Amino acid sequence: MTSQISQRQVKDIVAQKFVEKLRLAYFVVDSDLLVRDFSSNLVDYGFPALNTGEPVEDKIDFMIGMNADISLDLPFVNSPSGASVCVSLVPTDQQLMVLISDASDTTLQRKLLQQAANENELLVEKQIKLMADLEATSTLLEQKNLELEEASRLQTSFLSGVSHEFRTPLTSIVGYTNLVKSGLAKMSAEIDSYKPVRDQHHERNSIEYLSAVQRSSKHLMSLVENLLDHGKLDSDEIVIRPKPTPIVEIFNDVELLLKPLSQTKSIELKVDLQDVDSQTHIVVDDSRLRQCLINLVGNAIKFTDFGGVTVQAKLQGENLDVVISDTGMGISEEDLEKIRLPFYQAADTGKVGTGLGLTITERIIEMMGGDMDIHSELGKGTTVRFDLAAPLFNQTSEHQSVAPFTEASHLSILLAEDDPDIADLVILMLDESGVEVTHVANGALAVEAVQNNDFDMVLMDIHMPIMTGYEAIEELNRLGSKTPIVVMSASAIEADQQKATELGCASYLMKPVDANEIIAMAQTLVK
Amino acid sequence: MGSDSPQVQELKKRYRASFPEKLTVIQNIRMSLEVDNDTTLARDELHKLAGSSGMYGYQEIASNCREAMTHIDNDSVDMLMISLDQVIQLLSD
Repeated sequence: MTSQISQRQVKDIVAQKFVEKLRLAYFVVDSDLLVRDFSSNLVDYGFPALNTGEPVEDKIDFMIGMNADISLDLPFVNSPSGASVCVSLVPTDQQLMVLISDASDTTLQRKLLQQAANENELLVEKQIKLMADLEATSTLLEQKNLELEEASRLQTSFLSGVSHEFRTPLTSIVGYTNLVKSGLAKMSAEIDSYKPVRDQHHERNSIEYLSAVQRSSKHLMSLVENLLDHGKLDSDEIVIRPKPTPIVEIFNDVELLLKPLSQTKSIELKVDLQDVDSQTHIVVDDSRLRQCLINLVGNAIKFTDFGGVTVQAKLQGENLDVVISDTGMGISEEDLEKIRLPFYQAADTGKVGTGLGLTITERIIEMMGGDMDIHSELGKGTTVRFDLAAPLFNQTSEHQSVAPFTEASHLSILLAEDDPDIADLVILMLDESGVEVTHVANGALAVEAVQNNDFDMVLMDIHMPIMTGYEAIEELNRLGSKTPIVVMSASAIEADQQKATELGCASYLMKPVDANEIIAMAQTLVK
Repeated sequence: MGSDSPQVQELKKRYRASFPEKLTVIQNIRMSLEVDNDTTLARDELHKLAGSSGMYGYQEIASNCREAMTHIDNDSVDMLMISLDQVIQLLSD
């Protein structure tokens, strides 16, 4: 059996379902707001029963003061039953239809949305608070860091200050002890035979006692120097000044200096310098390299009671590799991790010091472009290995295998130096190397010479009569001279070196300087 | 020293021979400092001696002269006297 449902019927069914779903209720009023029609389900929302012809304002509150021609949607209105309803005012021809539908689902969703929004807001608030806390912590941390840096700076400054204060009286002790000892030794040697044996014995004892005072004072001095160096490293005051240096000389010095120490401990000190000869020059800060070697080899001897200490060194390309191994007491794993820390002293070694030597050495090696490694086994010994940048002097020249002096024959140098002793020596040394040297004895003559000649370099002393070296450099700068100027002075004062830099000088050589150094400098500048 | 040419060796000998003259200069400076605290002359002479002695291989003299100059900078006349005494001793050896 088939049933035919008309389109009209479908529309009615859908409308009916829609009305049911929305629990749609309605009433109609005329232009005077008198009730004309209404649905029976109005009462389901708690509205009072309406009667046709009565004023709607008497029954339904939200209609008070309304106009019949107003079109309005009130999405959330509380009905008398407490249910949330949506009210739509739809004006038609002279009448106003008021539709009321259930809005409780929408309200719930809105409530949930609102709740979520509130929670979000709370989270945002919490996040803001956390960010503020984080910022406060970060500020506190920064402040603590600054305080720590300041404390460290104060500590360094205090140590440097104290070290300076110690150094002055120590210098006095060392100096006067030296004078007294020399005087005593002279007296003792001159008139020994005329003195009673008891007096001679007493004098010899006094010399020995004075030697002990000297040794202790020098030890104290080295501790103080370490403290000063540590302070300088912390404030970046240590400057590495590489210059051409005979490599054999550095290692010979270290051996000569430390041999007596190894002999007093009856251990062997062996220095093995591979593949170099007395003419091999490397470009390195020789005094800092000496300091590192003396420190490391001195340590090795200090901690070795049997066997010996071996120093091996060789040039590897542009680097100098050094290995110092000993057969001493070794270092425990725990101490190995800490010995590089400043002021750390391994326990039970019975040795004294500041605990700064290794820290300073490692920092200086790093400043010279190197690295240091320590391997050790307790009871078997320690091996310290380090390398640092040490290019062969003249090796980088385009004219390989040519002695530096041969190339120097092309060079023309003006020497401004008032001291005839120094001038004669420098002129002779440079002359023997084939350098053409012109000599003047004051700054004014130097300015005149540069204006009238074409030099590869000016070697300028600072303290000169008539016009000082710095005045001459200022004058040459004013005249627009482009000739490179190298200052040569006996002054170790940082301010003097600073001034040379400010005046645009190519370099600052501290006396004593040798011919090779001057030639190397000139060759670099000519390039 | 061994690799020095005869001319350089001759210069070094000449320099060594000038020690008595340099000694007199430093002794005079020391004496004048006892009556007058003006260190200008001392600074100039010490600077010259520091430079030349270092160049001729007398490092100990050079370092004592530099030490003495540091004492001048620090206005430490007592310490300066000690350093001068050491320079005097090294020049008289």
